[in-house]
Amino acid sequence: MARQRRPAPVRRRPAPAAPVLGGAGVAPVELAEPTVEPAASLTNQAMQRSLRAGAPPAELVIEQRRSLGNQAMQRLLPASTGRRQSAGPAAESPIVTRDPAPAPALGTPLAPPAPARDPARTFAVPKFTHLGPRFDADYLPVGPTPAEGVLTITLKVHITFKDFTRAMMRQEPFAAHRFTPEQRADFAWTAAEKAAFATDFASSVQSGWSEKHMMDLKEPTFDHHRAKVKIVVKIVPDAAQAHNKMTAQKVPTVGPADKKAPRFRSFVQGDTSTLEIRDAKETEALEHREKKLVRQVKSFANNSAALTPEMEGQIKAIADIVKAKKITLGPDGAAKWEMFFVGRTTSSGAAGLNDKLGKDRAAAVQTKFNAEAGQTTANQKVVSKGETNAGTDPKFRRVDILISNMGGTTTVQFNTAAHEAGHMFGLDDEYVEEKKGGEGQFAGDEPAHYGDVKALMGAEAADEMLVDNSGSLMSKGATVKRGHYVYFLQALNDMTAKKWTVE
Amino acid sequence: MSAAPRDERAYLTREYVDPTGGRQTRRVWTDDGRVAAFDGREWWTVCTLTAAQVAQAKAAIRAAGLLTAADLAAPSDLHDAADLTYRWRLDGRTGAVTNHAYPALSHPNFVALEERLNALEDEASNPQDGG
Repeated sequence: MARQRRPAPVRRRPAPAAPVLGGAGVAPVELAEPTVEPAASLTNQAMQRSLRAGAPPAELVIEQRRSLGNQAMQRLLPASTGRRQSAGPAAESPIVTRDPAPAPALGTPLAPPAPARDPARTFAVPKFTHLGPRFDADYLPVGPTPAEGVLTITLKVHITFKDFTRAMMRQEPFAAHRFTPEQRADFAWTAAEKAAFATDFASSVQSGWSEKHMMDLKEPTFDHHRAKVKIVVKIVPDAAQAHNKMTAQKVPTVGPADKKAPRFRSFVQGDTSTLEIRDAKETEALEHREKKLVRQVKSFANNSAALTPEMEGQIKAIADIVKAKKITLGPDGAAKWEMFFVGRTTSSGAAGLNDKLGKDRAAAVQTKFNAEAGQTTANQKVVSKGETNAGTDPKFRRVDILISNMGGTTTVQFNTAAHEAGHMFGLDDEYVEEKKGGEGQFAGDEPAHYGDVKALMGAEAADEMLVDNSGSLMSKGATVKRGHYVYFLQALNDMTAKKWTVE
Repeated sequence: MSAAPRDERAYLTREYVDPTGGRQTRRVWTDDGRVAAFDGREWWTVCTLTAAQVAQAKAAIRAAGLLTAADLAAPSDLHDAADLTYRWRLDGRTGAVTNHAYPALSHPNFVALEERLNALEDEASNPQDGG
């Protein structure tokens, strides 16, 4: 009995009306590959159908060779390719790359065919597609493990090229730069530069994001599946087809290293972005101080340094993390790990009083932490930031706990194109940017994607996203964390109606 | 390379801070007419305004509404913007205004001010001979 095949679920971005087949609101999936039927139901008629559809897949041909015999297969194949064979039945077979099995000796029973896979334990369609506002996703299931499928994330970008201008010379940071005559002659995009930018941008994003983690599916009643994640960037000529509409800003690139024009501050806003010419290929060397822990303990009552029961619970949880991860303080090779308790207050009240209150709060948290963790004050510091950059929000009545390497900083080559692509995929920034009045992002804050990561991947993956100047790609580094794949995971879950994990 | 201007003589300072790369540039207008710029490594003198031009610059600051202007916040869907801040010292008072969405958005109080300041610097850099 032929298996029922159903079209794969498809989610589309809003698009002009188009003919719809297969039911209202659901367009059929455009299948690029012919369908593969389970071996148990293969017949000569099945092969004929595939041949009419196009070149049959390798699995189908191999199975037919086993059941029909090699000579029977050779009679079938030439008709499908349009090439008539003049000699040698095996010479022009375009598909099979594996040698056929030797004929069995007389009296030897034929090997039984491979057991059919239980269709209830496998995916019913060969391809899933998700069309989203930020990216498209395609999943080709291959399983069970060790075979791996592929999840392809496609980012479509439309580029408008913008020349540098004399007016831009008067704007920061260019207003502080002394342009050389050669730089003044290098304001316009050349055709070669445009082509290189598009190619390099795609390459930087693809290499920065692809195959950093695997998607994994383990369910008791389903075959174990794994999938690589590949990122593809397509430059599209029609802005209406793009996930992101980019302005590529030319900045003079000529000149010696110590007289280069400053970098334009690239940004992403909604479904638009502006990147400068160098972002496509040139990385920036950024420094950060490595941390083993960044957490916030909050919130104190107004004008108080007394710990609440909730805060005591937070401190115990932090102590448990330190013990579980066996985090130790002090020298460790070139590193020197120190723990900081940084007390804060809101902006209400006198600065001097807030300074002292911050220190009292930090000391209270230190005492409780050491009691829970069984540690001493060695390699620990209690400091106060008082009301610095704080607002009136009670969240500033807190203590920040950081374990930092005070032995030196780490330099990472920052891939701007990949970082901005992260925003295009839906991620927030993870670097510290304190602004007056409590605006911006402070160490230990939860970036906008934190909640989604926690919901889909758990607290441990989410805590890797906490704001900190670190080597994370969405901070000041190049490392793609598990949580950065959250929206790819969401698309895969939605397409397959399964709960995958990111490994 | 020039010496850094003395802050107490500055009636206007412009600061640019890139949060990702930590890059900072500054431009300072001082009472003695000097306009100096810091490119992240060193200070250099852009030009020197006359006393009359200094007065016109201060008038432009007032006319632009800088003394009562509010900060421009970055929209929630804007990522990686820089901060552009004007600090002023006029009429016995001091203050600061920041565009947190630079260069994606222009602060409405900065546009006219910058046009006027640029024009004054152009005049100072290319003085016309008298007739």
